[in-house]
Amino acid sequence: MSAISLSKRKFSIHPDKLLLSTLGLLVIVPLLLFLVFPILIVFLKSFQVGDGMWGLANYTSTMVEAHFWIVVGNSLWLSVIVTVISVILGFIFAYAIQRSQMPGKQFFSIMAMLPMFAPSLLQALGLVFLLGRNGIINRWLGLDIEIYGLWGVVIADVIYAFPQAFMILSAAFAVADSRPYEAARMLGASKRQIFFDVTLPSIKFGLISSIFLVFTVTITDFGNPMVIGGNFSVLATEIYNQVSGQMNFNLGSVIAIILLIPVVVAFGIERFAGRKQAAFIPDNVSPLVPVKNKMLDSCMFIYSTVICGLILLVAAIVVYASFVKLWPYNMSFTLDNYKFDSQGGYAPLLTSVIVSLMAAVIGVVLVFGSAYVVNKTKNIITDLLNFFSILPAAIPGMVLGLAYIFFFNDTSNPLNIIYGTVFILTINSVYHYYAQGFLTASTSLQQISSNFDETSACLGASLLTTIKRVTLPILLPSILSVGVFFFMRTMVTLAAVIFLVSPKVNLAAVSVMLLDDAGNTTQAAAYSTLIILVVLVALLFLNLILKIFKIKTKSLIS
Amino acid sequence: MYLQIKNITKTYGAIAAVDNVSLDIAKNEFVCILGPSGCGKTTLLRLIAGLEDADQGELYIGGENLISVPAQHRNFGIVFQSYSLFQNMTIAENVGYGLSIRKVPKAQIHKRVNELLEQVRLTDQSEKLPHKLSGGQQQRVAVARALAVDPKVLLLDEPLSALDAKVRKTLRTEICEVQKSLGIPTIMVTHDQEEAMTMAHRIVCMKDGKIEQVGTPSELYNQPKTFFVANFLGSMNVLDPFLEKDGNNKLQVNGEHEKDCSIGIRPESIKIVDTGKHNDSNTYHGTVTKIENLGNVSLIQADASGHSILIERRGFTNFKVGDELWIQFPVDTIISFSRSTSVVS
Repeated sequence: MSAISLSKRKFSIHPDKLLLSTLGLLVIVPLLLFLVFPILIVFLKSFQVGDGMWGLANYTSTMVEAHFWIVVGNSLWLSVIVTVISVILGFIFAYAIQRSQMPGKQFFSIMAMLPMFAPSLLQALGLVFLLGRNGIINRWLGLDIEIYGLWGVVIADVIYAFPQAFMILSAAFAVADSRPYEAARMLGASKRQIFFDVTLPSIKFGLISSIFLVFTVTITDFGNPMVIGGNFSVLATEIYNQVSGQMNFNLGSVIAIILLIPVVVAFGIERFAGRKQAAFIPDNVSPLVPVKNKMLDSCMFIYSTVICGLILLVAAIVVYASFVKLWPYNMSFTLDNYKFDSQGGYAPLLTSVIVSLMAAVIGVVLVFGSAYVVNKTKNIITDLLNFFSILPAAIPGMVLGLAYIFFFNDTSNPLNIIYGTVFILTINSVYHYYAQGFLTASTSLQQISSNFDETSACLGASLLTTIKRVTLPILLPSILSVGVFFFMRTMVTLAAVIFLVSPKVNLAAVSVMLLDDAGNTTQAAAYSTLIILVVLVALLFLNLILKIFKIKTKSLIS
Repeated sequence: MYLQIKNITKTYGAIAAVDNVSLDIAKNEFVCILGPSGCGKTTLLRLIAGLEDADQGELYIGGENLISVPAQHRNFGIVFQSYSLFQNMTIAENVGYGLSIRKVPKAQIHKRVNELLEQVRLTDQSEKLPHKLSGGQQQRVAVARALAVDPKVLLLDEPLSALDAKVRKTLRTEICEVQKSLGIPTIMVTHDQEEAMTMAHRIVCMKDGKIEQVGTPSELYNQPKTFFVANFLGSMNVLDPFLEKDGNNKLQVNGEHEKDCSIGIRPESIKIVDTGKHNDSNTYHGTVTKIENLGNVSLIQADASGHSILIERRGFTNFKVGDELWIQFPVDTIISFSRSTSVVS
């Protein structure tokens, strides 16, 4: 080995540094093109008054309308109710899973995730079949319950948001140090006192985090209010009405910006609390093992059975309805609903599978690329990259969809060629779910000790060799789970892509909505069933791969 | 000297983690860098490894300047506290990793890996995955992996700190034996003075990014240059206050006492005499204030002329708190060291 002089080092770029810079460039350029610029255009459009004129006119004209304030009120009121209910339900459920000795915990925690494997409007469809005008309950009991409206959306959104609240709270409950509990017991604290003095403070930030996440998820949900909202209009549906119904793009962007405000605030708080919760985990914990308690365990078992039963009922009724001749008049079995005669038949489902697979591959590459660069180098550009990568979590799907119309449906933009193709749908899904994927990737990378890289480097490996032979094998489980996450979310997403589909290139979740809109509720049910089936098959397939290759992984969903 | 570190400096913000350090290491030498956490010892090791870029300074190996050569081209072996075996590779694959990067033929790798595994007595574990092995076994694999590529220097970053006491002692001996048989220059970072004393040919004691003293274990223990070194390797009673005493029982010191020096005595050097007089040389009357029986030794804290003195005795002691005793500081066991480092209690 020959000596390299100091001066030479100053001017030559080390291949490892070059690799990192290239990787950084490869992730930051698309982030600018497919996220930052489109969002900026929405801002600009909201201030655009006529040709080349700028001002606050869109805002002022929107805000003087009474209807607008009703919609804002609806959105906030709905989100608050849903947040309170889902977080309470999720809290008890997470407590049952993590802190009781009831039987069937694993089964219950899988069942609770079910709503995440389907488009958000599945809940609404299920409720219509159960409680709607022609629903089973009204029919059988001769009642006249009106489900369309606020309370219908509340129930649907509670079921939709419940798994997400449960997941955060379950994670918060899961990491517990037994010592403070034992200390409290030794000091003579009652169970009630222990709950308020030890349990609650230890999950405080998880609780805050779940509250703001559910709020965000609810206020940005589009599918449920669309199907079951009736005349109850919220900000997300209002954007759709302005843009798709009345072709009023500037007003649509005003509402989009206004929807952004509570979401950004909630997201900021959620991030802050989430980080604090993670920091709460002490080193060398002696894990808390819940003690058997007949009373508590049986209460929790009954509670979990009821919750999972309801979740299952709503999903099952949709599957059932998909096999019924003429709901509710002729309930005999048929497969006719699966012969989709409108909305392109099976084509959207196939498109969805293709788009979801592409989103999984592209998403994994991009989020792990971003996370790698952010974790390996610390400078102003990687700080910015980090910020941009988390940003999508604060962008409602409707807003991102709108942003994409503005940006890509502009013939002066060379990227216009992807408009109306599967590529724009793929990219839209990737950037819609970028933040969650990025955060998972980032966490798994942080868990890899830098000593591995350093050992490998000292043994003579270049950065590329180290990535290939050391980093990627360690990351494999989380790469797979992030891939499945992108696939699942893309299969069920509705809000972000609703503006970007066309009769030629349509997606499954949009088909469900359009079928339902057209009054073909049983066909909508059939289409939903197929989506669930695809997602479950994908999950089973992945589990099989993991089993065959004996890869250990914690959770596939988050 | 085979390995020469010249005026190496690394700063983080305003803090100099390694401050103008120079050090020479011979070809067969085992050197321990000893110091409290935050003294810069790990940074110094990482600078030698090439895992950190030095702000300034040079690093020569056999006359060749390696300071600007990146870690992967230095051909140094490194072992971390956390073993850091690649979990997706078997023991044999871990040990052969460096060779496979060098594109050494498979058969040759196989032979070399077997040799090394034999040396660390893990031949029967070669096809297992790392998590099946105990901590001590994993660390032995890590050592074998570092040695597989015939490194020019072996760097050990607190390799024994994560292990329990028994395993630590065995591995200590093993590492020393391997080092001796290969004659490879080895630098180990540790905060454990016992480890440094037993393993090193020379100890480098560091504080605040600077070297306090370099020397053999016996030099550092018996002739510490500063109070910091004296107190980091064992305990030291500072005897300065006794010097100032007037009258007959003025402390006797060998040679002339220098102005900027402090004097002290190790607890085990202090004698307890049956009876004494105030005018016997270096003999003081004291009262026991605290007793600690550690089994093999006992520590007696006594108050003499208003100064607290720590005395170490073999075995259990019969003294009790409140007992009176006469203590003597033998003249030739009194150590003189620099006062420049402030005296900390």
